[in-house]
Amino acid sequence: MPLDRKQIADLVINSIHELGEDLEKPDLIAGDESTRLFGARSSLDSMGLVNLIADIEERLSEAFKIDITLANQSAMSRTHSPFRRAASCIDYIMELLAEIDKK
Amino acid sequence: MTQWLSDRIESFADRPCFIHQEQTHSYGDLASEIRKIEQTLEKSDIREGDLVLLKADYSLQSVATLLALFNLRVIVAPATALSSSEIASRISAANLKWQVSLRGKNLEILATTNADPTHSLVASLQEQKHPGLILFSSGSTGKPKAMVHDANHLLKSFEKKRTRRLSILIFLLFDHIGGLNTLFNGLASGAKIIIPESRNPHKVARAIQAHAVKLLPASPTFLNLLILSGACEAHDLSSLRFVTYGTEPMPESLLKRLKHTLPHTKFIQTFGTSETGISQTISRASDSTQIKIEDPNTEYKIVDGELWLRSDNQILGYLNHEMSQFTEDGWFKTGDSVLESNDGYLTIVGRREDIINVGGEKVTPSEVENILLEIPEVADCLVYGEDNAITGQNVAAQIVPHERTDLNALKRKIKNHCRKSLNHFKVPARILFPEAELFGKRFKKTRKPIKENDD
Repeated sequence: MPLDRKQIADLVINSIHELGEDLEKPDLIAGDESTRLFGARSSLDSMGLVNLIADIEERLSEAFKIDITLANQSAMSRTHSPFRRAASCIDYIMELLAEIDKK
Repeated sequence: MTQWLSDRIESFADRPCFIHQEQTHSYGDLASEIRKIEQTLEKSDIREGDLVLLKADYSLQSVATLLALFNLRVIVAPATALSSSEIASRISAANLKWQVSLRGKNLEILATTNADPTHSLVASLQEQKHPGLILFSSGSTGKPKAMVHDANHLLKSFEKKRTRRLSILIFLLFDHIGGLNTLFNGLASGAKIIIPESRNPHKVARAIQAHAVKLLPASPTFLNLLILSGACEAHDLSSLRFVTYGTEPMPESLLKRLKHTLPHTKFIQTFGTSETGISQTISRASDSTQIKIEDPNTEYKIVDGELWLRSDNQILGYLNHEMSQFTEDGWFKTGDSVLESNDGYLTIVGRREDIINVGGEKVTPSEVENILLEIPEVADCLVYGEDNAITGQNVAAQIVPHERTDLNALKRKIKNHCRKSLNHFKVPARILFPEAELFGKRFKKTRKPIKENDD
């Protein structure tokens, strides 16, 4: 059964909220799809992003039995990083899921 | 075998040698078993200088077979707890000619299909009429590396052992340098050697209690299991005067728990490699993981944070591998990363190949494992590096919890505990709770990621 965007969005936003609580970052605790995940204006550094991505991967695996690697070379070499904002990250996951469905 | 060891075994004739399956065998029994097996071997087609795989675990017969093969100046590769494909890969890696196993108390001798091109190392042993010992290490490629010791030479280092009435439980495997070290130490000093029914912690603890074992050589992984299984509480282990540990780094938090559980026992770290044998070391204190190498047969130095050893007991060479870990002047690069204190004590940090590189920052698994083991809910853990496109690698941890309830809450607790005690790049980005045990049949952890990047 294909997953809809809302399910993935909830999962990603919940992960951002939880990481915000643990790292005590107010902007992440109140995070939404516009939250910046990476770059100068994000409150996450590269280690924070690595943690967030690992957590999202684990949640996808636990909740939907989907095992994917989000931080791969092809994602990192895109002109527009999929990890700019929460919304682009969610879109990117949807894109990966669609590719899996095609196979 | 060298004459001195035969003489010594004869001289201990009335002493108990092995306790195995509720039976006591004396040194005299061992001596007559050796003679019996020599006669069987003399009737077989096995010849001096042949290469033989000896498939066995500890017993009177297996030890007698090993020593009888040495007496016949055979080159022996002991093999324990291996699948048939592992056996086959060892036979082919070292070009072994015979496979000897024990069927009950009888020897079964099978010829392998190997051709017989003689390796120069084997030829030199044959020329000197010395027996050999072949040990294997799992090479990083998965293909076993076959290394050759001159058995006379290796055994000679035990000749100076003083006679002691010690009871030793033999735990490390028959085909491992640590296990053979325990065996030869025991035989050379006339000790009573207890062979446990199995390596299950309760069985081992029961054997310690039943036979008032004084010395237990084991691995940190097994010692942790001994506590976790409740075997320490269920049995009286007060006879244990010494526990020696080696083969992998000891987490300080585990050593503290061990001292607490067995307050009257001395904990002593041993250090050795299959390539250089076991070196004599001194621990700074019973609750310290710092050691000093003080061995007349071993020199050491630290090069770029790596421990290098040069020992009289080192191997002649590898049968199927280049000598790249040895320098031209005979130093062995152990691959162990160590720290040296001002007064010359060493701390073994871990394997260099296990060091995790997170965006250029170095993380050793043992320092993270130490912190994880402070958490009361964590029974056991294993830390390793995982490939990651953002920081090159990230730290990952597999955790065995005491109870498998609310693992998500535990995961957060673990991360938050680590954030308080570790630099942020050392905090495990991924935490997994696998169902399986974290160690192999040798009670030693191997660090390999269970998930790899798929691009």
